[in-house]
Amino acid sequence: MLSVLENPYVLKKGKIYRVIQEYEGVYTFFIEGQEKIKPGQYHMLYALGRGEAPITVAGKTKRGFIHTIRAVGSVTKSLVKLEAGDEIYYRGPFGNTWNLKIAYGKPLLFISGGLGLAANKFPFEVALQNRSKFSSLIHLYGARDTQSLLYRYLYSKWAQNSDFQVIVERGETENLKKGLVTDLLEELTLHSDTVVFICGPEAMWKPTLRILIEKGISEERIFLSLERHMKCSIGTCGHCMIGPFFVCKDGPIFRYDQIKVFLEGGEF
Amino acid sequence: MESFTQSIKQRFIIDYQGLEKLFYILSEQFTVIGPKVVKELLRYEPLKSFEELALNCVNLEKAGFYKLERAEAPFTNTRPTNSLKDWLYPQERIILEIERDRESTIISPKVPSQNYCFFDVRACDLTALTIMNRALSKDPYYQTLKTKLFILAVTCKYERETCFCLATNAGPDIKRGYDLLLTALGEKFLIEIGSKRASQIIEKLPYKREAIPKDLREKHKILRDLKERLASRFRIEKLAERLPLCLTSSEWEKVEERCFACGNCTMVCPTCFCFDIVENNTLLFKRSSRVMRWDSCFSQSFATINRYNLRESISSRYRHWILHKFYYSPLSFKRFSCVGCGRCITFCPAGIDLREEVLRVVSA
Ligand SMILES: Cc1cc2nc3c(=O)[nH]c(=O)nc-3n(C[C@H](O)[C@H](O)[C@H](O)COP(=O)(O)OP(=O)(O)OC[C@H]3O[C@@H](n4cnc5c(N)ncnc54)[C@H](O)[C@@H]3O)c2cc1C
Ligand code: SF4
Ligand code: FES
Repeated sequence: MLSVLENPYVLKKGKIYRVIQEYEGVYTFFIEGQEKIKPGQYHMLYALGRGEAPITVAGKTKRGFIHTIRAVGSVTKSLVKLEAGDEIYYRGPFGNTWNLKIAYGKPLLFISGGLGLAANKFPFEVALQNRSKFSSLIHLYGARDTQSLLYRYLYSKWAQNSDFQVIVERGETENLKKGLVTDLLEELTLHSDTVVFICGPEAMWKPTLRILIEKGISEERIFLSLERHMKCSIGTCGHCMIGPFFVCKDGPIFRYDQIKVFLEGGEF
Repeated sequence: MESFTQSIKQRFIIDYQGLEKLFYILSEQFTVIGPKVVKELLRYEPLKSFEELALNCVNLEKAGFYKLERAEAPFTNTRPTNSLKDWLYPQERIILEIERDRESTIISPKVPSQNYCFFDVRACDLTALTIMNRALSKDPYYQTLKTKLFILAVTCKYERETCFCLATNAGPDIKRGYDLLLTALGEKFLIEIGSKRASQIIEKLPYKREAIPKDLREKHKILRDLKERLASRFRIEKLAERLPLCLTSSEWEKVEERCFACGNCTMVCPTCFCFDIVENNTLLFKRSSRVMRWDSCFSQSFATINRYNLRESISSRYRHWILHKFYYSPLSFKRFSCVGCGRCITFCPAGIDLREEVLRVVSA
């Protein structure tokens, strides 16, 4: 009998214990809560009277988990007003996970664009902890300018154990390279075994995919995280569909060859 | 729905009086929902009396056209204009209520308590329920109502120009999923029993006789004739194989100028399940309800992220709708999620007939 189905919309309560302002309008929240969360998964964060927004888990701590939120609209603008000590309501975790195991014994390459770093941070940190499992570990990160760099306080730690490269598109560069993340990619010599994890806006992953293919990386080794309008996050409201896939539950991470037709066919 | 036991194979003949009695026996236990004439439309509505049940009418339908007329014989009509999702999956309902005091409180809504009997469900709509059962497998509201459902299915005698259940393998035969199955044989009715509780209900009927082979032959003739007519109206050979080859065909674009993206088709479709969740606030935000509301993949906001609509063109939304029914659903549900009820054809203000659109795309 299904009448005792759990209500999938019931919210859980967490407590914010620390907030870091990354830059104007972007905040990182440290939340208490013992969840089993896999890298790549997301929560639906709820703002009273405003609604919910899917937000990737940007890492785990001893006490709980991390979210980095950019204030863009009604829900996110309301969420970023929360402070340390406040309660936060959420559902989840939802979605699939980055397949780190497939890269064991091989070179692993992360490519992040803008806020996409928030989604790549968690799997990257897990990879760093298991550094010896990968033959090499590279992370390319492109941001608009130095004012919009995320997690600056972590770069030196990350660079100790990996090849972490940052590039900014415009403005003062503060000794960083100037250009696009694809410029960094062009310079790399890649082994054909390399496994690639991509997260960033469409304008970034389109040329990125092209370069990777040119460099001889097969489509089955490229994974990317997609963003879609989401309401239910359990595969029933239909909003997040791309082709036959529900990004909320079949994704948000997809192997390139599996969604290529729909990704590149236009308006699927 | 109580699980269907193939072993129960009792068949009876009842008359008009028996049908009326059956209606009232069911009314004692259930809220009976059946076809009723409302503002010159045949609609699934709660029925307070047997007189409210629309028995002798005929719905005339074609692309963008609907008219209701009186009929000589009962059950000459086909399915009503609205579908059963109106009742199992209402247009708007609260999924969560949140109240904030000094201490925050969260209240989940109660599960529905209605016991529904659907009186007069046709093959297409019955198949639609099997699809909704799966699409809404995680919806506690729908699932709660569904487990208590009593279904009296009815075999169609005639089709409308808009019917194509045979092509979608959703009808017109009804083989499972009912408690009672009624087939009108002239002025008498063949009743087939599909569940234990249905047989208990039939026991209470004073007016009945057991069916004889002649009655069954009569039913089979009705279905044979109906199928012949349906087959001559519309068929697409190997649609499931041909459609995936036409994903980026330019033929899709031809609907751009005609479709208004009004979403009528998705509202009347018995298997369209997409919804939105919106907030309903009282002043000062002390109380807020999360409301589930039907949405349509034709709406501008449906696939919009960062103020950018991933399906900007209307034709891409139309394509998504068609592909969902005929390509994506078979991948997960092993069947089309179009059941061929034809409602979307009748209620399209632009008179777009999805059969013609699909045929054009795969034939190009
Ligand atoms: C899997 C996933 C992970 C995400 N992770 C993060 C993250 O870690 N940090 C972060 O800041 N943002 C993230 N986003 C984007 C974030 O969910 C949107 O910015 C947010 O939903 C916007 O809602 P809003 O009400 O503030 O904005 P509005 O523009 O007012 O939103 C209106 C509606 O559009 C929808 N919507 C608008 N933009 C988006 C969008 N970009 N993605 C999905 N739906 C959208 C929302 O459902 C909302 O109901 C993620 C999105 C997805 C799909
Ligand atoms: S589509 Fe088939 S089952 Fe539905 S009303 Fe028409 S003939 Fe009857
Ligand atoms: S978010 Fe509702 S189906 Fe994916």
